[in-house]
Amino acid sequence: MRFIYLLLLSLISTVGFAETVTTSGEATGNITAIQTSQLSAKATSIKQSVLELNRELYQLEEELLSPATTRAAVYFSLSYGEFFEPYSINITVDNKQPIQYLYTKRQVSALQQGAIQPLKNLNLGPGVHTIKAIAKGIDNNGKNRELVLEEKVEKYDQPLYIELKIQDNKEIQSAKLLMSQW
Amino acid sequence: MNFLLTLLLVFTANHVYSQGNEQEVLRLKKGEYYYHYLTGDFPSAMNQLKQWRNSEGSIADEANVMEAAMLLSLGLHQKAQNIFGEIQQGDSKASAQAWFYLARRWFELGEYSSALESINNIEALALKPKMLGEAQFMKAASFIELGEHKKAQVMIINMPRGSIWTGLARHNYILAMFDGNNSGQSLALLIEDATFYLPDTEEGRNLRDRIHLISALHFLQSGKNRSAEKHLKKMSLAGPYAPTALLQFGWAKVEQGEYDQSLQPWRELQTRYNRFDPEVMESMLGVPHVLELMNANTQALNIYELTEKRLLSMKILLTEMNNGLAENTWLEDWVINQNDQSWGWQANIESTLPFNDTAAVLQQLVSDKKIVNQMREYRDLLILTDYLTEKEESLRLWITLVDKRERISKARIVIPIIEKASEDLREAEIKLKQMQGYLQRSNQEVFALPNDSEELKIGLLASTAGTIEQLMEINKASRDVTVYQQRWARVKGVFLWQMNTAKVNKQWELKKQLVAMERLINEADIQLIETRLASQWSPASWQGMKAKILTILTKTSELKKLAKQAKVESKASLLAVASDFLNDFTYRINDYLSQSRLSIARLYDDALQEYVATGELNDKEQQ
Repeated sequence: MRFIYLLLLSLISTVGFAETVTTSGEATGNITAIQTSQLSAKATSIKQSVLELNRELYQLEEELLSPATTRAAVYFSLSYGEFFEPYSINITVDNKQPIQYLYTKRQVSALQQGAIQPLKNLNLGPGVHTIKAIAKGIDNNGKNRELVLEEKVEKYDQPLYIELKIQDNKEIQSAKLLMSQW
Repeated sequence: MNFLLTLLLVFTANHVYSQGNEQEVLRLKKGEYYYHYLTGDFPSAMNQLKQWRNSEGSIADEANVMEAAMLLSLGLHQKAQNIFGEIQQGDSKASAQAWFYLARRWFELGEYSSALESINNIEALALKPKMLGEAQFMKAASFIELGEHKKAQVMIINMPRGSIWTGLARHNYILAMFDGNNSGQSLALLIEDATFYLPDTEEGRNLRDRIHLISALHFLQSGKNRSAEKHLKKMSLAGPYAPTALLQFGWAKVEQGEYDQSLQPWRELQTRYNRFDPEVMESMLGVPHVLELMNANTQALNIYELTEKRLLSMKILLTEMNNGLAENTWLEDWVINQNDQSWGWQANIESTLPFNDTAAVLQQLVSDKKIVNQMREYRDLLILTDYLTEKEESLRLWITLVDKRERISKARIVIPIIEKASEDLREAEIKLKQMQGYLQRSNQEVFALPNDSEELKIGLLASTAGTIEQLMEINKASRDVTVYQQRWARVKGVFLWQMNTAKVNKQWELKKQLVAMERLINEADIQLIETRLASQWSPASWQGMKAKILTILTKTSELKKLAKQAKVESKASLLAVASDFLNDFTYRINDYLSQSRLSIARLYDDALQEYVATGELNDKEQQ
């Protein structure tokens, strides 16, 4: 009989303890939730600041690497990529500064969807420069092909944008490499 | 008037040309953004985005949509909502992909109406099949969440049957049917369809198990134990839902009074899975309970005692783990084990903790999405702190470099060199002009363009002529110099003939050389102008840069301090959560311990009562 009393007492104390734990647990939970949301807001604000800083850093690095007066950016694009699929491009400016690039399937797919690849930022002095480009790839018949271009560009004190573009020509079922500059 | 008109025309042409250029440059920038975006280089893509925001037209619309998606991913919902509102009001021309990513973020945030509006802007044909499947799933799931079950049903019927996205949509639809207390043949058919058409991939198999599990739990709740058992039997033991299935299968058997058959799944559960699994812990008490129901009291008592010991050892382990949580590297191990090093919503996070004793207990913690988000945030802050430290270091290097550029630029004495070169060039030009004049005069000269030996011969001829003239004056009567005169005239004639013959060639050679020289002088002239320009431009590589770098460096350092502080706070918060979790776990074990001890006491008491009732105790024992 005494044993049963003891058992009942222990049971009551356990229940009492559990209730206290639950109440204090709820209060702690609420405080933790508030702290978590504050922390989350802080982290979000830091992330946004980092994003803004990242942009500023990007611009600063651009300016440091190639000041506006000498900056020249080379871009590469495909019009449709139906008659030519590039697997590499090789560009030289004044027979110097070779730019070589090998393409992955994902990059070719991006180009075929209308994306324009920023190939390289160059530093060019004032005056006329000769650009030679060789795009290697396969044509629509699966044969290896090279598209070659040699043209002159003139650099003034403003940034120069050069776009090398592989343009499909449906009439002759072929593609050619073109260059534009702004 | 004419002059003004011409001026106006030139101005207009220039304006149009420069506007065309701006459009082309913007097109390049847009293309560049898509290149980064499509090749998965998101930070670079975000850098491009800023430039779009200031432009007008369809490019800006697209930037708006993408920025809204990115702001949502950063948790800046209010700002995203504002942009989204503007997009809705205007006639937006953003791409299908942009709308898709925006819809995905709304869906993840549980904003189903906004998700639906974004999905409605997607052009189905412009999306890849996998993305289209996900978009259709989001649409169906959003309809379900908004209570528009009929529309969801139509949507699901039009989705490809064998796709995992269709399976997920059906899963959500089944859950909605359970919530609405729907039953009958249509529900059974829906479950059968949902499990039959799933692809034979790991994801597909796991989803099949999940559908069976939710169905079983539903039938168990509504007392349809046989139906529940049917679904539980179809589940794989290799899937993630096996522990719950085994536990529920056991309880289904208990409910049907098949006590002996309920023990096997629980034994299986205890052998296969971690003892800290809630299902395993429940089965620990379930086994002796069933033995009690089978009136195998001695065995039940033995197992209760064994369970008590096991629970006690688990409690000790949990207490030790909780005390040493701050020194434990479980969180750092988890961060190191991530393959994806990017931060933010694009990062592909593996939420499973690396295998060790602590992870075995804390694994349940990471089943909570909120905790995973907190861990993700801590990881982001860790990456950001490292990134900022790296940038701080590189900015300091840039300062050194800019200083060096400035020093070199100032030390370089360019102007005197250019002036000297310019003077040399002028002299060369004068000499060239003299040579051109000489070439011009060579047409009139008899002995034009002589070389060294010819020059000597001309000298000899001249001196000989003088000698002959002298002889003629001295010896008029005695000496006849006619022979010499004739000979001299003959030599002169031959020499003149030879020089005249060679003259054309010489003129041609000289002309060639002069033309080449003129070209070289022109090139040198252009080069000199370009060098002068380059010299004027060169300060751009350092002028004003140091101040810019210092400003950004200060920003970076301040931000790094904030990130570091937030990182420490985030870790402390995570440790507190983990500690709370371990405490809760300890309370649960305490609860189980109490239950097992109570059962032990009850069983002993029952036995005691029985002894007393049957009079097997003597008086002394009874006292």
